[in-house]
Amino acid sequence: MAAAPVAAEPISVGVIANLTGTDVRTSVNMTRGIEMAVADINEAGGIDGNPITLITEDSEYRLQEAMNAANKLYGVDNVEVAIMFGGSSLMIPVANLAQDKGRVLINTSSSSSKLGDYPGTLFSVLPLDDIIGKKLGEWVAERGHKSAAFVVPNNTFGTGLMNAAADAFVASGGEVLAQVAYTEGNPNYRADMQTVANVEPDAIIAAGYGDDSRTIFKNAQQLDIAAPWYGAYPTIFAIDDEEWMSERFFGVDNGGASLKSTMELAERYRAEYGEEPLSHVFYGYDAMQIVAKAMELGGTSSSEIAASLPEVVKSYEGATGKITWDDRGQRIDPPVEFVEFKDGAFHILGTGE
Amino acid sequence: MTQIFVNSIIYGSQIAIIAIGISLTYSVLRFANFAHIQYAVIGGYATYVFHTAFSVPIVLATAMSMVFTGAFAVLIDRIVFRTIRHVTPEGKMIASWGVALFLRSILAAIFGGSALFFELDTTTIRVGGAIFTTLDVAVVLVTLCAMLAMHVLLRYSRVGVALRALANNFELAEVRGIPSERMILLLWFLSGAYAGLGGTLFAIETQLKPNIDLLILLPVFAAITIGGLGNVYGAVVGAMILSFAQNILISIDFGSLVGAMQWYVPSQFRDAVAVTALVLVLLFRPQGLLKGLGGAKP
Amino acid sequence: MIDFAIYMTTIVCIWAVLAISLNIQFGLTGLVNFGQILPFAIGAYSAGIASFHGLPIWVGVLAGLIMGPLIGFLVIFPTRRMAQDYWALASLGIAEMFRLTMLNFRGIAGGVEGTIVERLSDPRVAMAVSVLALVVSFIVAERISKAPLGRLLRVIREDETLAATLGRNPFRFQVVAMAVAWAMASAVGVLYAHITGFVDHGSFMVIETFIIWTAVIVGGPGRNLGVVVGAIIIQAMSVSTRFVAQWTDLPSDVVANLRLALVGLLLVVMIMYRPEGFLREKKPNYDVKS
Repeated sequence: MAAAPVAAEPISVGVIANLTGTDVRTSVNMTRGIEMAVADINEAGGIDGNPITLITEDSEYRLQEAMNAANKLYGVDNVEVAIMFGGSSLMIPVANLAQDKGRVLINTSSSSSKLGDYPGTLFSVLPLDDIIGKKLGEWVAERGHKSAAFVVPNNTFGTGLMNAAADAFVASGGEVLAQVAYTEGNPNYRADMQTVANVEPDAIIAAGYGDDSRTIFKNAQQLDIAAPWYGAYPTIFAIDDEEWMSERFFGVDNGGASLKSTMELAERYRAEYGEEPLSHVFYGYDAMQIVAKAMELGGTSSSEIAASLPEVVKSYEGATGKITWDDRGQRIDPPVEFVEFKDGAFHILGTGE
Repeated sequence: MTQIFVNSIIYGSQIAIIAIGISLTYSVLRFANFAHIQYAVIGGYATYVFHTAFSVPIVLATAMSMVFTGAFAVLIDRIVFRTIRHVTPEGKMIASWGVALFLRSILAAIFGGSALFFELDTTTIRVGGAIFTTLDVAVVLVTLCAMLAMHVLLRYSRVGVALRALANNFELAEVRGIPSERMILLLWFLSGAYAGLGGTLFAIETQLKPNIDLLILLPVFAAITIGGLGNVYGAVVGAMILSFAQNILISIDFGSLVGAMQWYVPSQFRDAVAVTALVLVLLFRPQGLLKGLGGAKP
Repeated sequence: MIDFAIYMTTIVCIWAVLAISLNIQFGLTGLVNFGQILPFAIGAYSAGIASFHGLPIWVGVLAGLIMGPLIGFLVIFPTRRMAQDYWALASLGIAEMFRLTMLNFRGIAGGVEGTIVERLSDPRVAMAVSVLALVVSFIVAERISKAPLGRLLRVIREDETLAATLGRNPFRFQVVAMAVAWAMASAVGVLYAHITGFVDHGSFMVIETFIIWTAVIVGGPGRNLGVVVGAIIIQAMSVSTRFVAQWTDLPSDVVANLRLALVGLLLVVMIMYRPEGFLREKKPNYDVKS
């Protein structure tokens, strides 16, 4: 069991996130989620009396800098485990490195199926796209929509989700009218939304997050597109006009958002940072919590953490619901919630496994 | 189809007003200023600060931001570009990239990398099949007025005559007694003020982020290239040509045209349209599309 | 720590080769290539495309070595009738066209998802190959600049008409220099793909080109040893600020931004105060008509 500490020596945990460049907001949200978890853990006495300290490195959302960051964390700071935010284009090279060095990497943001190739090295707190995508596609068809247009960011997350949802939607008898994969970070998506308006879909199936999603909704509203929206992880979308989106926005989310502890966490976030939390806060929080619990259970070396993590998640009910991993450390069968946005908040219409 | 027209006009206006500043400085100083688009971003942030932190009404805040950004462009000239007047155009372009990187990073350090939004109330207008907002109308009208003002200034004022003389032949104009350094200051002020206006319009319509300059770099440079580098009117026409090309291309149902099911060019090809236009024009018609069609340098 | 040193050496060597390659184009022949990331991308994508379509590694390596100079030839061809700053903008555009093509067409090399490439998993081997690439590139670059070809290239850079009156066709020599330079950049592109094990469009944005430019400007254009030092300075700065960030109490995103600001500042200050002769050498350009 837990190795006895020699003295109250801080335990370093690495964080890699794109603090500059594109998609900063989501990344900063995740980092704050981790920081909040560390505050909780240290307040409760740390890991057997040793506090956790974070070493946060910027990836600029560039491969070269992500590699620099990872090499510094694993090679100089000698962290046993790093928690990372970034797409698969950054995550896979860093996972390679972690595997070579026998360290642990916790993925909070990428849902590429290729990440399953690093068992014992890489563990995901974000479920694979195909699961949520499939549920989303089926649900849209179930709700009686015959045709749909897709609006997703042109990245692995977006297109992966789109493909899974489109397959499920078509298999359930729906027709896909348009597949818009927009370039992230654009100040304006009017033309993209025009494409959607042209095909007049019954429903719009979307993936996206942060500022981009907000601009997309804004442009859709400007173009007066009436179709309802179905989002994957609707809580990571930023909503522009709450009144307009009310009863127009639905989605399939990771379970947990309705838990009391999650709501409290969200409240704490609002108090501390004065803004609405994106669900990345919760992924970051859960990632740090399971790492800490694994350290407590089996010791603080990377091999011990890797061995304990699958045990720990079995009994962990996190801010993103229950975590179930396959034997490769990838999150499967997440508890899902079918939600509707109404009067400024998400309401649960149903749940599923 | 009217909607495509409307979308094109709005996007074209947003690009045009930023593009003319680059053409203006290019016409006299002969280099394409990468940092100009960053001035626009600074203008957006300035307006945001005036409007939200000091509760200045948006129109006044925009005017203040224009003055601020103009002064800022002058300041950067005094510190950087004046020192390297003798350097080759390419050297200046590289320096301007450094300036842009510096400013972008400082902005991000101060305001954070997340997007900021102006919360303005807008009303939706329908004309025929087209839908747009009061804000869109304002953006297009302001752009139009700004261009007219620029036209009047360049054509009919003494300052405009002096600027055009410098653009046509710098040494000759200097010999004729035009105070070139003072004119260059004015040039930077004008160009900066237009950047401030353009950046504000862009930010109000969309969002404000430190790295927006990287995202509109290619469309803006494509616009000034299509119109002919250094041609202020060309920049406007170039922006419109580009905007229409981009919007029309992704709105045509190519699938139905050949009798198949609906198929559109994916919208992510918009950037590719801008880049391809940039390269093709530079390769085959480097003087821009307007030369010989009545387009004249200012 | 030793692992980190090995890694950094590898990375520095790769960027140093890119800087030498740009230096042959700019420092020696005066070609202002704002698309220097393109040959690098061509190399990396050659490896990526080979891997994506299940071809053996040597196909990717060979393709990279051939395609780099070949596309380089296509890119340099229009300079014969273009002003230098126009060509600079065009080269930037062409590099972006390549990147957007790779991004938007999934069938070539995975599109937006990128593609996994066979990896040189031993970091020591990776370092050895990178060092070798740098040494070879450096020797070739030195040979070019010291050889009659190099002297002629300098004449071309200074005065194309003069070179032509000497009975030489300056363009032919520019083409040779370009082909060599692009072969180098493309070769380290292949290498980079096999070191990171992943090829994705995000590594080849416009901003990367200017990182190479910063190395060349800081090191002093025209000097091969100088630009290698420039590459070392830029990479060292990028990494060392990470350590500074850890010692200060500033929020990490602020430090990250200040780090980038410092790179921009360095670039501007170098051009202003220490152009090392090459940018300053040229005659005043007010009268340069495009």
